Amino acid sequence: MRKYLKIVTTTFKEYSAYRLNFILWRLRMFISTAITFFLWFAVVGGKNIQFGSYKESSLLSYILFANLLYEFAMGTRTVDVAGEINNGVIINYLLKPVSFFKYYLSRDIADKLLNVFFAIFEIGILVIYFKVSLVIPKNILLAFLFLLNGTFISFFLSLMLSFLGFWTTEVWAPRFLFFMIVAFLSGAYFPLDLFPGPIYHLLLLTPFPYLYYLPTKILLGQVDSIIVLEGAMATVWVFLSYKLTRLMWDRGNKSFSFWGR
Amino acid sequence: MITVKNLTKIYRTHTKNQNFFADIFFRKYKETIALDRVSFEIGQNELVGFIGPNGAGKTTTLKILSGILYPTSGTVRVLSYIPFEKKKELLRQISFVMGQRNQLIWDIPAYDSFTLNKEIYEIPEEQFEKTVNELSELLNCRHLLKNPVKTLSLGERMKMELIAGLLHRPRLVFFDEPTIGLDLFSQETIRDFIREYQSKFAATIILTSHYLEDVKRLAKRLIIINHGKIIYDGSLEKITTKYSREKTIRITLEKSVDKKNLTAINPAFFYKFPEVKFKIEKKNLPKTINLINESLPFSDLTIEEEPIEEIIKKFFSENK
Repeated sequence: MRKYLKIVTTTFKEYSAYRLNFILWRLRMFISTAITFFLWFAVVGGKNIQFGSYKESSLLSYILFANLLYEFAMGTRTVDVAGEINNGVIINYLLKPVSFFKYYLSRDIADKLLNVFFAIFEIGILVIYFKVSLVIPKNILLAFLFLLNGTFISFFLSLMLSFLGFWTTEVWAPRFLFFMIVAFLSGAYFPLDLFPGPIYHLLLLTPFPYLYYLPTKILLGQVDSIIVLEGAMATVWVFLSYKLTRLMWDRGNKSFSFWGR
Repeated sequence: MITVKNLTKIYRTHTKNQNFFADIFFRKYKETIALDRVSFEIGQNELVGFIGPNGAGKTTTLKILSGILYPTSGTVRVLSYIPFEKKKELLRQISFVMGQRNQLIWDIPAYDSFTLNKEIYEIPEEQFEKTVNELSELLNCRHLLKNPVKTLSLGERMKMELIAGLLHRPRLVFFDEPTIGLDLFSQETIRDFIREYQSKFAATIILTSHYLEDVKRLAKRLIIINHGKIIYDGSLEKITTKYSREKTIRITLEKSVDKKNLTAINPAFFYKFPEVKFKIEKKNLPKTINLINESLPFSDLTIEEEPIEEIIKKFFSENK
């Protein structure tokens, strides 16, 4: 356990070496949250409009909570892995008595904690400035359990994309495209239950709603009647994505040449 | 300590087609034999020099021995473990120091990477402090421990890499070109350090280097590999005796002499007053020295061994 804690603190130190880089990254994330927020604020702010089951307060709360949980579920350093495979740095992990998956999960925890910490302040600014009446978070423990599942699914999906590096050097484009689609289908821009019923139910079969959409809904107190089924589905996706990532890792390691690297 | 039997490694790489679609759907592959039925054994506390031209299979062998690469066929046992299984018990006892690769985290001081390794290798606090102190004293780099790695020179960084690689006191160390790109002083320091480490911790060391001087100074046993095959496995002394048939006599003259006098001693020579150099076959050495004594006015005479590079070159040209 101590070794993984040390990986977390060492990652913090790495971030502190590039403070400006981190500040600019936060600025980018803030702008992205703010744009979605402004858009919805323009639509529902000060008006008595209802979208699906959402009114002004619950819709704006959804956007802000979803973006906060996004930071936790999706914040990752695994984007570096493809590059590390291609330039051979990954060898350093293979030679150490440490699990590669746990090593990167620890790095991710550092990344998530740091990003969530800053995101709370940023979202706080929007809440205060636009006088948003936030819904009081409910079912915190249940939401956290769902978020944990979502975090694991996101971790394994991101690792899988990076493991493409074992077979090709062109990983950036598929990753970019994938995460663009994921952002749309996982509820970063609007609550997924605004989709027509059949599409929404179809989406529930994919891993995307489990990343941070469902945890946010639970936090808003909107627990679906099929929550047990959703919990089971999320667990299935954690298991499946883990197995697939493990398979890619084993195959990649066996077939990769590290030739001249 | 290490047993390798009939080790073969074949790299399969795809060749690029002219056509983008053909490249995706009808990939063609080329097979390259990097190691071809290689067998050897290495015992406890041995220091073995592993040499060969670029692409001969040296690094591939080290990567298989350390568990990075999966062998195509053959058996490999390192400290009784199968390396590719990457058992923690094995990884705790080995280290791979690469001259061309960093294991240190670039943006933060080397000391932070050391403390990370301390936790990863579960090194007790006392042993950690003692080893860092000892190794940084030996390499004379204590003052650099707290500087970010990116601010260090190549030589300084290599010293830090050595400490990071040896902190857990591995029983088996692979050094892959540890002196590459370093100046003569740093090369010397690192050689001394490797020797010191081996004797102090009774470690087994495999060393590859293009600087044959490293091998000459450190290794008693030499494994020469070419085109994926071992072409020599034996003592360095034996190969030197067999392939070093000439010695160089270097003379400092007191006054200039006519070139005819030099030709009379040996037709081939180098002359730039006051220095004269003769390359003489070993069997003719006593006779030539007598002749020099009789016919040349000199103030100094030294007999030099052939450089190891020349010996290995001869070995390769005769064992193609």
